[in-house]
Amino acid sequence: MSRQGFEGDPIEQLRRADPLNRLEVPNDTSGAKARALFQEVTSMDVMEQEPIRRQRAWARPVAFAASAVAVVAMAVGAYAVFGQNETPEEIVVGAALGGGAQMCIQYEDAILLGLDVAFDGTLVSVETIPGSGDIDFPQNLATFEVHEWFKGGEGDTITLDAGILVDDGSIALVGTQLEMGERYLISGEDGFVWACGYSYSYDTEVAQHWAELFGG
Amino acid sequence: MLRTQIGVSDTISAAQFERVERFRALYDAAYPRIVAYVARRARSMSDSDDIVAEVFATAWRRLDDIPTDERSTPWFFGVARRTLANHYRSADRRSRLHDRLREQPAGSDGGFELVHEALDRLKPDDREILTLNVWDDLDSPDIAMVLGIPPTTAGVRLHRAKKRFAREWERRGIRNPNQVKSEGVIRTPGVVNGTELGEVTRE
Repeated sequence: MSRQGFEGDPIEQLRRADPLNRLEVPNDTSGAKARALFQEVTSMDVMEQEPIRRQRAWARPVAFAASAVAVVAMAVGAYAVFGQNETPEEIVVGAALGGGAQMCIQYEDAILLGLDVAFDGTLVSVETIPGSGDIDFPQNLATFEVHEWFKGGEGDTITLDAGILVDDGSIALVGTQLEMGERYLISGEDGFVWACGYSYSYDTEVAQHWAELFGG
Repeated sequence: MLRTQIGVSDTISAAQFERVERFRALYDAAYPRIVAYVARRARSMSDSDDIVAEVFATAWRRLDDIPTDERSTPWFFGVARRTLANHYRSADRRSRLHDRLREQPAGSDGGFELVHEALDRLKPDDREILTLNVWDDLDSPDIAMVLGIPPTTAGVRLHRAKKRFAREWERRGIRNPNQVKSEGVIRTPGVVNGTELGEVTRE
């Protein structure tokens, strides 16, 4: 039979008729939804047998913690020991994050070295973006004026999602809750601040350690 | 000396961190394609979200079983296929499709409807293997892994499915696309992994 009015390879026509062309699908995992799922999944006990069942997949409170600091959660820190001073200076670290945010990793210089950015900077603004659509949790985008880059980045400022670190109800992970105008040593990856052991209120000893570590 | 403190129970080991990073690499590679695969076949975006989440939860639990080479992609597709089938095996088959799809305008290409009419005329197995190849961009060896059949069998089935689709296409080719009334209907494969999903009609 002829194909009056239709030219071309039928397989190519089928390709063009992909119903997904009419949808919005992600091209990568940089979106909040993908990040939240990653955090949710990797927070699961690997022995857990029950599959994920959701009523409203992205509206659960745990998703807040997940988005808040996808990796802050992992970085919540363990024991970060710097310098040779025999008198430990204790930095109070909160663990009351809830959900997957309680999953922490022991501090290692090698891990810090592998993060995207590390810098000495002052918090100059925080913009809270309310959740919308399926993402029912806010982002807290913290902008820092950078005094010194230890790794990554360029320019005078950087904006990272600081999640619960700037939330009024949170317990601080860097010695104190992030506050406007205060100076910090911040590391981060994938657009998130890493906390506990990986970010601090500014301290000269830690700054010196970071400078040596990053070869600055 | 500075020290941060947190309960021992709240820490994970470097090995656990390595596991997370290993999963991250697989997740980054597979996530967009699995989201697309599931979205094409789920009845709603809500279903799609749930199914995608189950796929990656399964992957997390079975991380050590996932091939570390190029076979990891079909491995994810295989899990997605089974998860999709299981999901609809127990689900309400009368569920309506997502409003978001309904809001989409019909394609300007009048051939769109004809293509889906031709696709609907195929047997479910032909539809599945064809769409895995054309829409999900899997080749015969990958499809073989997804379907659990020998690569040569996959190749033969794919070839035959293409020929059958071309024949259906020819039959519809006698119609002028400009004369086709667009109904804004999208049809996707109604059978996955041998499970009848019901009429998967998106309007």
